[in-house]
Amino acid sequence: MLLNLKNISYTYMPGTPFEVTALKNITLDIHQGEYLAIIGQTGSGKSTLIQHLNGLLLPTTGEVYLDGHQVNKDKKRLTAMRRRIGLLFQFPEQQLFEENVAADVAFGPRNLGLSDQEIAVRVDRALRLVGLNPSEVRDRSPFSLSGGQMRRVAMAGILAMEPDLVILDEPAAGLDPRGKEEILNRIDALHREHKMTVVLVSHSMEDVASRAERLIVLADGEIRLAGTPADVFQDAAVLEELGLALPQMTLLMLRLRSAGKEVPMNIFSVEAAKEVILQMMGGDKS
Amino acid sequence: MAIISATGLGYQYEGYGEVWALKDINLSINEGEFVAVLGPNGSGKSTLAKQINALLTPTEGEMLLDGLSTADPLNHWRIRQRAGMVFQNPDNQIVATTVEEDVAFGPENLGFPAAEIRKRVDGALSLVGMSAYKLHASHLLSGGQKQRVAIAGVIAMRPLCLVLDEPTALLDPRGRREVMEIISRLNRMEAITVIHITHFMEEALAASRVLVLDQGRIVLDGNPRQVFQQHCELRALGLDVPAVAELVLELRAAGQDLPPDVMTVDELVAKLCS
Amino acid sequence: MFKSITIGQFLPGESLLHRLDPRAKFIALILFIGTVFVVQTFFGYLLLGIVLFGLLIVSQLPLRYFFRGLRPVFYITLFTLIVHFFMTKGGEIILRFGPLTVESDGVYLGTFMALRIIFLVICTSILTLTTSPIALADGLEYLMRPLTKIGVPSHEIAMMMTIALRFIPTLMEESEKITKAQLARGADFESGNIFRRAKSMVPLLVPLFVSVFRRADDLAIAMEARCYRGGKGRTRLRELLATPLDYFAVLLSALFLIAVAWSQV
Repeated sequence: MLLNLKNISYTYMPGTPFEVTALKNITLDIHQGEYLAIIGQTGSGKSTLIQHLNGLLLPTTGEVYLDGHQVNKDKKRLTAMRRRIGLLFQFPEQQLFEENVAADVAFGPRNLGLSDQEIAVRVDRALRLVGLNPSEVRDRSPFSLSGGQMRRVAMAGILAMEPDLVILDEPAAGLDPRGKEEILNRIDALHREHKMTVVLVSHSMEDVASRAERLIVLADGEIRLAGTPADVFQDAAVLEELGLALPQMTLLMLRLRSAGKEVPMNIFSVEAAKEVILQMMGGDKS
Repeated sequence: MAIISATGLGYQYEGYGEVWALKDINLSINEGEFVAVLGPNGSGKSTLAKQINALLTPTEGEMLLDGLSTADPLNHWRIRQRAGMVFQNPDNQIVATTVEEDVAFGPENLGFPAAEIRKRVDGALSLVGMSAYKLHASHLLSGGQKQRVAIAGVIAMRPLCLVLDEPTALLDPRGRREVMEIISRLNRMEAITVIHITHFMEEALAASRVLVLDQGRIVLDGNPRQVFQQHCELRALGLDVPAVAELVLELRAAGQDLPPDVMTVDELVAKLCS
Repeated sequence: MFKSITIGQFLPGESLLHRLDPRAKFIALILFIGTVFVVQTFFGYLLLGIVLFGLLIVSQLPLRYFFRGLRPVFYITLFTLIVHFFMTKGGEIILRFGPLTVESDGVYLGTFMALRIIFLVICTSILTLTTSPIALADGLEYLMRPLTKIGVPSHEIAMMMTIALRFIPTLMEESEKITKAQLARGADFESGNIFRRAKSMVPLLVPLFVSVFRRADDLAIAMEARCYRGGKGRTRLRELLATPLDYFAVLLSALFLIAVAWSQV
């Protein structure tokens, strides 16, 4: 077990008229090598939750354990935690600041105190991981790149720290369909080929259903549903109540079921849906 | 009657050399239409939106809004009152700290007396369902609510058409649905012409007409059912096709007898179960 | 860390002070500031303190919240106090730390200065906490109107104020977000000497500036799209309307100033 949250709650600005309880009694384990997606609307507590995963926030009540050791205010431990757990915020292109791409990606590794040589190797490796050609972009100003490229540079900045776990908050937000597909595929590859533990935060079921291994659905600071995508989509009613749209193909299966057809619910892609329907129609005829 | 009409419209940004952000745009949009504009990043969608309400003016050709040419600076204020615009980032278009003050901003600029402004602000807020938030701090609203306030701010100027530049791109599903419902309602009930730029294909399905832009040109123009049957063209542009439309194409290729213009889950279920 | 700064953040309410015309409150504030500077005795400060506390009660602002918001100011005050204690000489020597002495004039002056700062901040906070930023800007614009004749762009100043106030929370939130994003990349804003710390702010300030310029650009276009063309021909949703109560409040503040000034002569 990599991370372990035990009954954590978090309250913003306690004791003021602006007091808000953002998380209520959350218990969550994150295992080495898994691909977990956290789903919820804005304001459901997603952002607050992920900041507990790398020690940017400490719970008001409850405990966080990293490798079985409790995380507390101890600064050294927190720094160590942030090195092992990379967090890419929403619209990460807004955090770029260096004169050129290489220097920006090197910011994290440099803070780790690595040698220049090691940093150079890591920068190139990280840029390649996000699908950028190091020799093309290394010396360019990050501000001269397209939005999608800037976002990938920011992602490289986290990957260059070689974390055990990478958390991505809405990595595809605001991109056009092609940019979105590209970045989500990169994340898939990190998980599949590089055995990276991934936590993806999203409000789109469509984006995560076929990618993540496990989903948790947050609403009002609480975990409402958890399990494999197929498990979670069994509770279509809850998802609809929370205003979270089912993936189109899953919705199709659900509607076919209510029309009396026997179809499985773990269908998220067009290809899978096609197979099911062909079988169904074939079955009808025979 | 055409409310928006462009003939031979071309536009170049200064400092970008010979690149045409828009080229050979011939377009006529009638009163009451709901037009969705699709296209990859950099295809000229936003530039077109800004041409409609004279935030940009043509390098060549002509753009007429309600018969007024955008080339004449004397027309600009009348054009901007008639063609209201809502932008992508809700945070960067709200001027005032409270909801009603922000909605009042447009009518205040138009110089109406206080009583008239009050009437318009209250009317606009009730149209977007935000009356209860009248006195709320604008920065504390959700993304969807902010966009509704932005729409109200435009509606309070009583425009003939509403130009929305990716208003849902930064919203969560709930916010997106809220905004789409408002837009559709304004189009249906108030007969406001809508130009809606989006990356979401399901949103385009709600429109009565879809334009697809690529490299500054209109490459597809038709009703959503016609346009979304052009899978190859859309794919080549890096655009999605609604998942159901894609599935129907695959099923047809596999020999199933389905009409090509099935676009939604409910339609497909009806066909499969009949 | 930015969210904890609550100086001046408007708290909507229905109290008497909330309902006063912003212009009346502005004039009253100026009169109160005058009073703070006129007072020369501890008795005067005691009186002023009681009056301000009374106003605070009338304003119905939550007291704990109010004083917590003043916390950063108390540090500045403390600093003033210490500087005066050790640097201002004269009168009797009260304490002696090796070569350093604390003398009675220093204590006297330091306490005075500290009280002045605290009272000024309290007066101003009461105004900004009970007046919406828009009303504040409107009031200011109205009061500055006579200055337009000598070329002061009163409308533009008021509009700038409004926009600044509108964007302060947004930018606070944004700085917090960028700070966290850089912390997640191992940035260290807290250790090292002052130069190192200043340098460590670069990853925070560059993105913030980039964002401010982008927002300013977007906002300018959005305002233009909504037919903004400066103050000319612009009307307002809320017209300022002074009631007898407002005149009374101003009169009372003026009388208070005169009375205090009289007693100090």
